[in-house]
Amino acid sequence: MNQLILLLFGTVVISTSYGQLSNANSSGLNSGGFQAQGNLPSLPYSGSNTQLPYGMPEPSSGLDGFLWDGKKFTLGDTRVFNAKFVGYLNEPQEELDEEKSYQEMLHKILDSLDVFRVRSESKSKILQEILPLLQKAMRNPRDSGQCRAIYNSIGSDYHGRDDIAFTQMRLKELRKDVETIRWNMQVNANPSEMDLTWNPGVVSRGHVKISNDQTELEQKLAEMKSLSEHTQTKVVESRIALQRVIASLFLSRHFDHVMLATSIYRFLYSDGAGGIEIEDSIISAASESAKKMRAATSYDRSVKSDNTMGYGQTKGAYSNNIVDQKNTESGIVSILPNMSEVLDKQASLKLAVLGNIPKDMSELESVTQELIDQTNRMMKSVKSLMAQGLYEDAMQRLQEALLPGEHLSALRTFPFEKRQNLWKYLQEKQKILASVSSKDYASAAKKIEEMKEVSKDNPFVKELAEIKNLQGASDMYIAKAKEAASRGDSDGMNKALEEAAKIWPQNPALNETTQQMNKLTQGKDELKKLLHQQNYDYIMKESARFLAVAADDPTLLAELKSVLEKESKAVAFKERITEVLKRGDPAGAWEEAEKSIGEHPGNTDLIKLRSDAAIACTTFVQQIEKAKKAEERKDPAAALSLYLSARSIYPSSSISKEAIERLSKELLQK
Amino acid sequence: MRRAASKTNGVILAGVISAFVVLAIIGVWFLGWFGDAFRGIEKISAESYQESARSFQGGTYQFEGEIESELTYDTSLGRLFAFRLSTPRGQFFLPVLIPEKLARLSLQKGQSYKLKVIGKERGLLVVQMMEKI
Repeated sequence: MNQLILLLFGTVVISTSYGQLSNANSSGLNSGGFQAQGNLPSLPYSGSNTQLPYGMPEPSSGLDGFLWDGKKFTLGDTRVFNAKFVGYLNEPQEELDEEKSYQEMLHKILDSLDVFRVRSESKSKILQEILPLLQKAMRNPRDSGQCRAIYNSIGSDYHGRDDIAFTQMRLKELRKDVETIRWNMQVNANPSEMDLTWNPGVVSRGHVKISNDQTELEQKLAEMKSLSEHTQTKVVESRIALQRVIASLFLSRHFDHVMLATSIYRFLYSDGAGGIEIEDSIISAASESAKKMRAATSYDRSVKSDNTMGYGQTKGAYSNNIVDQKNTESGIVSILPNMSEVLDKQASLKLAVLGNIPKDMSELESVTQELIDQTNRMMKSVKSLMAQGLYEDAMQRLQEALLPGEHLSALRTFPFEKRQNLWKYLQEKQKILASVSSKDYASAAKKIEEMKEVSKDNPFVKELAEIKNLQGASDMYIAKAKEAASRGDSDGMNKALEEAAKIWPQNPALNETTQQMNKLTQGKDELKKLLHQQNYDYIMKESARFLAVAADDPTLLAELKSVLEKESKAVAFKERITEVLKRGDPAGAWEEAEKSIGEHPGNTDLIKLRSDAAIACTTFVQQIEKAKKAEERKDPAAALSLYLSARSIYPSSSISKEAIERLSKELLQK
Repeated sequence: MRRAASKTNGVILAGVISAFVVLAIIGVWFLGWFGDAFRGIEKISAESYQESARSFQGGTYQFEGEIESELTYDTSLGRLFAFRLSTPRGQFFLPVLIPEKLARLSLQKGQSYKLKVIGKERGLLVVQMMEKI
């Protein structure tokens, strides 16, 4: 039974966990499996979520859950902490003196209501003891209306009792009247000696009196019956009112007050103490009330998709689709957040909740006492575990204790410093979960290592091993990509990079390799552009880089080599022309420049050198230019004459010499 | 009478001789004038030739020039020489083909000649006559 009651409070966890588990693409740990899909047949599958792609290992949550009704619920869900646990960890602890004095008052009341004392002492005496204590307790800041509710129930009961006392007096009078009427009727039923003759045809005075007494008697008895029923109703109403208060206190987990209220109930209605059953209507009403109270004021069911494209098929390596679906509630006014969600979603669970409220007052008392004891034991365990540095276990125990014992003294007085230590631990843990969820394994591994220094019972040991495996697999694919790249197998390289990215999108080596590949691609584009622009000077300056860039592209490499070869010649030309100019042979320099420009039409350096040389041998250049024009207009004789003139100016002219030989032969051709 | 006749004969004879002499002189003069092969031939403009040699095709020209170099040789056509022409506007060079029939001439670089040339196809100057100066 107690386990079932605990399960009732466990629904706090269920509600949020259920929401998460029912949503395959939630932002929980397992959602990472949908961010990238790939094939890693060589790796053993370590996750338990069968919805994950085959061969895609996913780190587990690192937190154990529990199975119930064929469903798995994770106790360590972050949303539980967000809703309740985180709030508790950041709440200042209750003032010890205040709590102590409050508890003392409750204990005094309970002592006054001792079951044997209740039997021996008069009710009025006991009431005189407990009512002032209750008044004092309900004024204590620690009390949030529970003692007032109990106090009011007692008051309501006594108002009813006054009414009943008046009724009893009336009943007493009525009984007396009834006795009198009965006597009169007996007297009237016996005829007196004065009535000597009896005439059956005449109604006697005695008969009339009896008839009147009969009527009066019936009236009195009817009134008595009515008053008696009224008294019973009053008693039942008072009882139900107090039962309602007790059920409400139980559902709101004010177990100290449940114990107090059950004792008062036993005191007020001693005839049914220990055996009386709580009305079904009260259980239903209390559950419905709890359901209404627990409704969240707003929900966030937003779905966020993030498509990050990396190095694509043509240019790079990977694409990553991240779907983050939120499933959170806020504005929860209830002490049992999310209960309504569970009730709405699972009718069977609702029935279970309703069916597991104790129906017997003694059972209720017993269960409550067990819960109080369990909570106290758990809190002792929390403190002990924290002292040993076992924060994970301590946090789990505290979480379990918080569910039923939120309002109990043991939790309210749990030191704020210790709460903050657990809060910091929890934050670190959430960071790790977030890193694992986003596949930021490097960061996750680092934080897991750091956590070892905080808590001896690191819950992520298994995850750390899995992360190492994943990192190794991703690196393996990157090595494979590099190897493919060295072979010029761009398809193989891209495929391997894509696989590496699927496993570990934030692998620094992947980023580095991708950048290298990007540079390579950009370098190729740049080289193609420069070749198109005939910007050979820049290509020459960056020849080493461009040779590396074009290494895996035979066509581009051939073109680059050709350009570099030509440009090398151009450089040689420049050097030679400059040298000839220095020697004072401008015509010779001009001729060299003219020849080189023929091979390198766009070379501005050569054009400039030719211009410089032409200034120093204008006549010669003019003759050559004229000769060329004559050749262009198909006038070989004139061209020959002009070349002869040019040669006379510069006898070493190779251009003239070649042209003279060529044109001479042309002219003699038939 | 006879004396008169011989006197008359002598005068006639002297006259005839004189006339003969005069005729001889005139004849020699005529012969000299008409016998100049370059007489009436247009002198070539080397500058114009460089501007458009094709326009010289079909014309006959003369010029005086110095052999600058031999450019090429064709057994059937002859030898192509470059002649240097000195003009008030400077020195010019003309390519001139000396046909095979004139090949017997001993042509050497630096020799000056007076040439009569005719413009052939594509403006090539072909020597018709040449005299050493």
